[in-house]
Amino acid sequence: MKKITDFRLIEKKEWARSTSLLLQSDEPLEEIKAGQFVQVRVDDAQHTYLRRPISIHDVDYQNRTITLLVLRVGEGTNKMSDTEIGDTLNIIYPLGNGFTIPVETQNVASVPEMQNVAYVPEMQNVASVPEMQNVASVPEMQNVTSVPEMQNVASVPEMQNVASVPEMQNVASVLLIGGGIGIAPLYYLGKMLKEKGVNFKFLLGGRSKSDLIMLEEFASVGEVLITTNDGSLGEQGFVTQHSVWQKEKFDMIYTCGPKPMMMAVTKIARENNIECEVSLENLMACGLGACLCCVENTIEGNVCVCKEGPVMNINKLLW
Amino acid sequence: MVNETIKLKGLTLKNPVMTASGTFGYGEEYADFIDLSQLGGILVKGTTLNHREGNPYPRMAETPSGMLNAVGLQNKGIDYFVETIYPRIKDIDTNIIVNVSGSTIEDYCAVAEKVNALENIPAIELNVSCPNVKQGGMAFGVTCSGIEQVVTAVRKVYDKHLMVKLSPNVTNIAELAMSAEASGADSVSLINTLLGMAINAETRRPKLSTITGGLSGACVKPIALRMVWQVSKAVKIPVIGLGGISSATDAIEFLLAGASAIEIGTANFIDPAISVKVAKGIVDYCERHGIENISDLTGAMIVEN
Repeated sequence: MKKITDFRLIEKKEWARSTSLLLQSDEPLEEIKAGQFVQVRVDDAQHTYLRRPISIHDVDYQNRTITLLVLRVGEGTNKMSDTEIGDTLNIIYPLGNGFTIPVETQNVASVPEMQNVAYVPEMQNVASVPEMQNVASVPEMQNVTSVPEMQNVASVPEMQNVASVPEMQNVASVLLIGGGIGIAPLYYLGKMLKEKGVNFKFLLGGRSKSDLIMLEEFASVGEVLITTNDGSLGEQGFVTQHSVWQKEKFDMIYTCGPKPMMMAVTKIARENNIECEVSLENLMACGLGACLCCVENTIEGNVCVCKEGPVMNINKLLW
Repeated sequence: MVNETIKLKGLTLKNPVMTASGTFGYGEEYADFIDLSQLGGILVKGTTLNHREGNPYPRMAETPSGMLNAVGLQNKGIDYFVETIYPRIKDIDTNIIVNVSGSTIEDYCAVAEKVNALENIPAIELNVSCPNVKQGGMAFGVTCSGIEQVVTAVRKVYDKHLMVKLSPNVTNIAELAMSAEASGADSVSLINTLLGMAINAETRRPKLSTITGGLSGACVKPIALRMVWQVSKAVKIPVIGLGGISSATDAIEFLLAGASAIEIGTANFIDPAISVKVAKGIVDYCERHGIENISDLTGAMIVEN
């Protein structure tokens, strides 16, 4: 359910052009999917009338906090970045769809301990059951035995801790590609994938070292590969030029960043038949799917980035 | 207890606050934030005979205290509305009013006829003034003869409450309102968006794909208010005021200027719960001023001679 809530700024980190805001709600958080965003109210000045959409970087249900990474590009983002500890920001959340978390049960039958499980009818279509796609991120789902579809499966000892079956951990090899401030939503996505035991890497690119922030935090979640245009950190070049493309094969790519970067990544994904989701950033007004300003033209016509996005599978795009 | 009811011909509003077409989807999009039954009415997204894709992106630009839009009436057409959307929204406990648009008189009539058959739709808002449509919309709404033609034709096929939404991009809006009244309109709503534009100085390119677009938001309020006042003096049918309303005080100014009811549009983007806050605020104002019926505020502006 979407909510309008005041979040209090409790911690802040600042870099030259970006700021990390740790915001706390007095109420329990709504369920948030990796890839969703918020709309922040900034309207107390002439040139900041509409809310600003910002991706959700991190979520902590226990402490009722969300983290936003804000790049200073104009009055609205400057206002958000200049918020002081103790002040509140009025936020509408959670908005948009989220990244699709892979559920790799297609290879279940090839894992010896799992063979009898594959013949359980309910398990065969697990990946196609929407509620099952974000198993790890839905608190009620963490105790698999309570889900009706899974009940007979849970009695199979090997299924009780899927992530610990060694063959399952390498079933999906995933790359999370971020550019500039676009790295923001990939952090929480990485955490969700890690919880599910999915094998992934972060590939983060920027024009220069100073454009890349939160690298230590990303490294605590997963392996981080870096490119900078000027070579000041990591490999020199674009993310699409990193040496990892020569060394590894990937089953799935998630990407968020400048459109030209995402278009280049899409090209590689298509050429190599890799499943790929991008996160779009069209100019928005309502953020709720009501005004139809933020549309992206797709194979299904114009759809709202705020509602049928911001995450879209490349097979829907006309790029 | 303040009486909030507003009675229009064939259309009773439980309070004067409605939400403007193009800003509130079909109502469902805002159901998480407010109880829709607390609204006087919802003007749903502009509906045309055929499916329209609308204009290319970019379709919006923020402007000082406002925004420009060039959506271009994207909608899936009246048949999709009747078959798919109407069943979902018809039981919402408020007036669901369909905003009707068209490129030709035949199109307007075809849509109006289909909406006439829908039991739970008590009114249509005839959009003769959308400034983004290249063929038609604007043309009808800027001349008296254009208004006469379309309102007369639609009046023949639509027998419930016919509200005509006027364009402000005209020399004399009162005249156009009078034409609508003479042709059978039951009320007029104004204003639709003002024609405006914005340029990105760094890239030197227009911010909208269509170069010009419709201006809305707080910045248009003084113009909208003036036009409501002018029109209210010129016609006997009720006037519904909209344009930059984002508080109860704003709404009351429009009532005092002559409006019987108001619509809130762009303000919904900043605060999705604003509409019910305004409804409550109007009641608070009436309690403070000892006013028994909100309808007593219509045209109650005092001008000392």
